[in-house]
Amino acid sequence: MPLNPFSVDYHLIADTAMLAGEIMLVAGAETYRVEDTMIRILKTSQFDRCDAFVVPTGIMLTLEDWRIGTISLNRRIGEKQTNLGNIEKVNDISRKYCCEELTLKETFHQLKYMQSVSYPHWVTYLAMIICAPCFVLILGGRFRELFIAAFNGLFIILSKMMNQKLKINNFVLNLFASYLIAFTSSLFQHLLYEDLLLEPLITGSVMVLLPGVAMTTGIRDTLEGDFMSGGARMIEAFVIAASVAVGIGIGLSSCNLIFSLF
Amino acid sequence: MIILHALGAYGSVIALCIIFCVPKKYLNLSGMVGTVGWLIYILLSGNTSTEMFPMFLAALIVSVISHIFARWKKAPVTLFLIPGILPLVPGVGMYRIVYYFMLEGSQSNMTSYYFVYTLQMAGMIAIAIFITDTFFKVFFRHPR
Repeated sequence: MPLNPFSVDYHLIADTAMLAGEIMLVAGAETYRVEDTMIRILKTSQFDRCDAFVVPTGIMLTLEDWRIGTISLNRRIGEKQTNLGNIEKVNDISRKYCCEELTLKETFHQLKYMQSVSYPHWVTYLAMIICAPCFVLILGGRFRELFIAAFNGLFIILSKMMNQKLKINNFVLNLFASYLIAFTSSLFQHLLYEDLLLEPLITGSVMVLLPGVAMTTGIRDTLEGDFMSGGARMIEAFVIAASVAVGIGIGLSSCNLIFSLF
Repeated sequence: MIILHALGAYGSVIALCIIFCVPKKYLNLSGMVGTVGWLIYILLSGNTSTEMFPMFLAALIVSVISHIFARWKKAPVTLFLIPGILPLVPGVGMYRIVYYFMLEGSQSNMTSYYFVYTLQMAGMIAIAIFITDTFFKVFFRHPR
């Protein structure tokens, strides 16, 4: 099909691809998936060169054709919020667009005014409270550990709320949450139950904070040959794990210190 | 015992799915992926002396099932893979690293033991995902 400069709005194609990529990257998709989706959208312009370059902190795209010119956009991605539902939604929309079930304008409109997938706040908070006891259960905890773990879930909610209100960076927040968890668990052991199993209790409670998402996406990015993003994600996973570990360490030892003084 | 484990794994994976905003229609499937993975790990590691192989097998089966579900539901693999892998993430190993790190004296050399142990566990998960991804890429070419 010959290229007609006036038939399609090429800038809109570039914008659509950028928007799709931005939503996916913010939602925590693997970079190769973001690149793949963007290039599929860009290819519909039938330009000579369609390139998308994605790293975990930014997106660049270029459409190049000697008959029309060059369109180039880049965007910086800041704060990330893991949202697997949004990845699925954008995937679905871009698939429909590439199968020509949606026109370009409809696609752009749907992406622009896409309702972000989310549960009500109380459901998320409830999930955070339920999550910890369930992990304690499968790690070998007993009834009393379950109750204390549910109590520890409150600290995770507290740290999430602080994240929304105060915008402190994640390292400090994870450290703070795991410190509180370790400190209270240790306190319960000293004050109430001598034989409290600290290992399943603390591990189960901090499981929500552990970097499962960063680890999985890092592994898959590395496999796709995207070493820069893969490496960055691995470091992210390592840093998160380190912050949680440091928090646990400080919490346990400070509690031990207090009780050794008296 | 097994029923308790299944309930706990299912509940925790569903809770994690809600935290990560997995859409409602996939909640049940993701929960099942996670439960199967955890049950395989716990049953095998109870009966064998090594923990590496159960971890590898559990991660392998989790990623195979999530690839199958992703193709069946035409959804990204990540949607099932991340919740499914999460119960297997070696949190216990990490706790033990910190715990032994703080003990001064004779037991502190356990730190390096558990450090290697945790890395091995994470490595097993990585290898399992590598193998499955490659397998599905070679044998099932499809539009994502």
